[in-house]
Amino acid sequence: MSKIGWNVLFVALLVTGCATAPNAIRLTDGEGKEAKVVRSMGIDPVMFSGLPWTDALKNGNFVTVLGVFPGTPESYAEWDPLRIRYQAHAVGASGREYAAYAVFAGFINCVPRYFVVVEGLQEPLADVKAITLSTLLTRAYDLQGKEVKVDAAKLQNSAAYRRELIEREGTSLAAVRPIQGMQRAFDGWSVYDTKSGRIATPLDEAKVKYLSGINPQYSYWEKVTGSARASVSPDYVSTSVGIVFDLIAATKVKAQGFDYESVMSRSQQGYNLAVLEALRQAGEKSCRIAEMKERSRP
Amino acid sequence: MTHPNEPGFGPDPTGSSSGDSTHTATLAERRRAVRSHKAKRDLKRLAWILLGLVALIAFLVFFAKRDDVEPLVSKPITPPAATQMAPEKVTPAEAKPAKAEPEAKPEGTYYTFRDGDRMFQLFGKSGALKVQQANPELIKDINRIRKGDTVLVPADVKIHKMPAFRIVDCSRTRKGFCEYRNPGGDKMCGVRSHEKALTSPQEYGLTAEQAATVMGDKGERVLLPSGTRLSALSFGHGHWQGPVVLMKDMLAHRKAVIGGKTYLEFDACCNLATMEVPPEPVPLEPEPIPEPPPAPVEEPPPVIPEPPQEPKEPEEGPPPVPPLSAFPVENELEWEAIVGAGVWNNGLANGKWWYGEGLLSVKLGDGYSLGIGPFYAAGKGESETSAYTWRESTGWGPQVGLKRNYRAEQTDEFGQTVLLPAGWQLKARFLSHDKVSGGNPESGYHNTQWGKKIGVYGEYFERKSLDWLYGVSGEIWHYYDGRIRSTWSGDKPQDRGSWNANVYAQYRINDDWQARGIAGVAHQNWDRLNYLNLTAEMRYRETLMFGPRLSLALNKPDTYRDIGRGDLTTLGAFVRLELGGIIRQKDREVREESVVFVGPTTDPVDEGAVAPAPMSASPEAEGGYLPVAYEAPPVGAEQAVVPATENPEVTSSWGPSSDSGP
Repeated sequence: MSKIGWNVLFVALLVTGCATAPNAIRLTDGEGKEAKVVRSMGIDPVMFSGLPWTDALKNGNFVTVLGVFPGTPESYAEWDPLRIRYQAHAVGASGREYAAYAVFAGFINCVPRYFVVVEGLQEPLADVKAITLSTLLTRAYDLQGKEVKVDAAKLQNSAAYRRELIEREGTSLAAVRPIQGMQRAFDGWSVYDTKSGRIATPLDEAKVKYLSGINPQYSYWEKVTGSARASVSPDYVSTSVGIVFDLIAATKVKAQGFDYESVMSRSQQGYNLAVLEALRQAGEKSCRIAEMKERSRP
Repeated sequence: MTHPNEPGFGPDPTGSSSGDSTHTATLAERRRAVRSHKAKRDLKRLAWILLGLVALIAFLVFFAKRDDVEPLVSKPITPPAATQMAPEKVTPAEAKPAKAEPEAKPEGTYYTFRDGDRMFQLFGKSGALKVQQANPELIKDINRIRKGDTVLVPADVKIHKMPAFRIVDCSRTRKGFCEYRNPGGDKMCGVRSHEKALTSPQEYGLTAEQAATVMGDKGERVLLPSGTRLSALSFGHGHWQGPVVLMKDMLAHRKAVIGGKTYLEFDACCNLATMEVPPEPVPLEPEPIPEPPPAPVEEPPPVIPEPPQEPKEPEEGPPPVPPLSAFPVENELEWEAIVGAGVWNNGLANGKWWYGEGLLSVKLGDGYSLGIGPFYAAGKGESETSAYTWRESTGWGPQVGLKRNYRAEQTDEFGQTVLLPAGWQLKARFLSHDKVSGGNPESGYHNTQWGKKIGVYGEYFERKSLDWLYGVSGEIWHYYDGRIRSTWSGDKPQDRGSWNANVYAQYRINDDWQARGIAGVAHQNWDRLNYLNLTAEMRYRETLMFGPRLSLALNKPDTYRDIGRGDLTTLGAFVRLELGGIIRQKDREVREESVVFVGPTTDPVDEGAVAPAPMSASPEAEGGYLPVAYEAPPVGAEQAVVPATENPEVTSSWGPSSDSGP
């Protein structure tokens, strides 16, 4: 194949296929080939636009409790107006693991909060504890929003560590306020098929497509697609040199997903701040109204 | 930097310094050869001139159209009324004092009140009374003015202007104009000692006795209304030196007056402040709580009792987070790469050039970075007066670069100070295998020259506004250790060193187009020729870059004594297409198309969906909370970890089966 042909092939590979594989973090147990996948948690931005539409959620086989959105810089860095779901996980006293999801609930009682949805339960049991997690599972918080120490590698690879950690640092579902009506809320949501799975979301199709269109640049080929100049000049040598530089430069590209180490434009940061500030002010207002009502009671 | 499109980048195309057959030809023969190529040369020149004209017309067209394009930032953004610090002056002719008395030609100016305005602050004590007298209908109570009212300001009353808003990097300088919007956001209470702040030379610089006076006196409680100006403010983790305007009413204690400054301590946060004018005590009566609006839109959520907080253990900070990439410190490295290519032509020869360079840098802080990377340049050409052709290559060589990117203060079109990008860089290069080889198949002549080069490149740039960027650059190459192998024994190695210096300006025409003009001088050692280089570059959406380049000979060395200066004039052009943006757009479209709307969650058509559980199976279950049909495992009964395959709630469409991995 000629050199021009290789260049064309390279560009074609970028445009089709390679760069669009879904990303996920797996919770496993065991090592090497013996490792069993306990749970797979998608990290493509579109997967955070709603909850995975599982049988448990369809059937109402879940409980919802109220948690506190952690006040750490990392948590706020992961906040986005279009992000519905945040990472969470739950473990029973027996070691049984439950898929859990945190849904941003806005400011309630002056504090930003989550609705923490735990699958496989019909009642918030005292012996089931939950934590919320950062997008890439590198930081963990109890449901009061307090950060807890976590060994990210063990968290992903050892069920025993997850059980020990959540047993020690997690918050019992019975110790926080239960939330009713989540199933009814789901009735107003829509279901979409995405390349990473089926989700239910309150967002409209345009917003889901927008999130789906984001290249998070987690994988190498996503980084190449997201950063390559793909410079083509009349001379094949400089074209080839440019492509080599693109391939090298892609190794240093930062991700653009929802995790706190990802980068975002300053205009997007400003937009996020403005929306969050509006939410905070609305929350503060309702908080004051509640206080005044409380005071005015005879 | 010098690109190898300089005229004579290769061996002297006239062959005057080599053993080429043309060297031995008579002058008349060379002239005949030149004349025989004249028609061809003129045709090429015409083509280049046409190309230049097209580029110029395109430039003018887009420049002219720019007036129709709404620029990104061409108008001042109207800030909220509360943040407009300069009082708005309206001339009598422009004012529309609908409520003002219809007097003919009043002496003075009109002023429209805004949020935060205070009569005494705006006009002073005596001025405020005069303004009230001049507008008795509008200002019945001097303490109550209405936003939006336009009043007549008598000619002898001065409007005290607030300082123009100055954009500074507040977090770094902590100087300049500031607005205090979030009292208590960074409290001094329990964080910092008042005594240290008061005696610190960086803050108030009081003596120990003076500090004791300030701290010892509880002072009178005063209300500082919104809009009050402070001259300095100390908070939990720092100190602000400069005008600070309160953006909300605050309570404080007037502690002492020292050196004409009143020292204050805020109730809410214990923060210290000074102000030039002593505050007037305001009777502090409990403010009536405003009635909440009737029927609030949403029922406020019930007060949720939080579970008791566990006693906090001493904080040790979050554990270190494992890096997400193969590089140990991801934030500390950056990579840049530049490639380019082009063609050139003059009366004696024509050719192509291309080059590439990269730099992997470590950030050193404060905008500095130091890096290493490769450099490569190459070209080829052919004489228009003989069959002589040549190829040349610098080979791959290392380069070391030191650069700094920072933000410099500039004054924008509204007279405001803004911080815009600026920077400089220095690169040192070493090419150990610079090679030129050429030959004439008709005469059998051939030569190859090797040598080494050391080069230094420097650049400085400043963005002067959102539209204009200026810069200077220069480069020098020193050539040494040259060797030659030639079929003519008289050949000697050429000195292939050179230097150039350029200035450039880049202009943003509109969101799609930018234009860059480059002018500079250059010198090449091998024929001692000096050039004036002029380059115009058009950039379309950072995808297509193209432009012409003109090199005019400033002198005519002896080597070219028999050749007209016009033949030394070189026209060149370059074009580069960057497909990155197109690829990313296509990738986004593919990703967006992967989303398929299935239906509402309640849609029974939903494949595999099961009808949601009844919401009101029993009165107790109203609200969707169904504490039924639950089989709680007895505590302690489950001891083994349940793998996903045995846990249908976990293995779902969200589970491993749906994950194909990158």
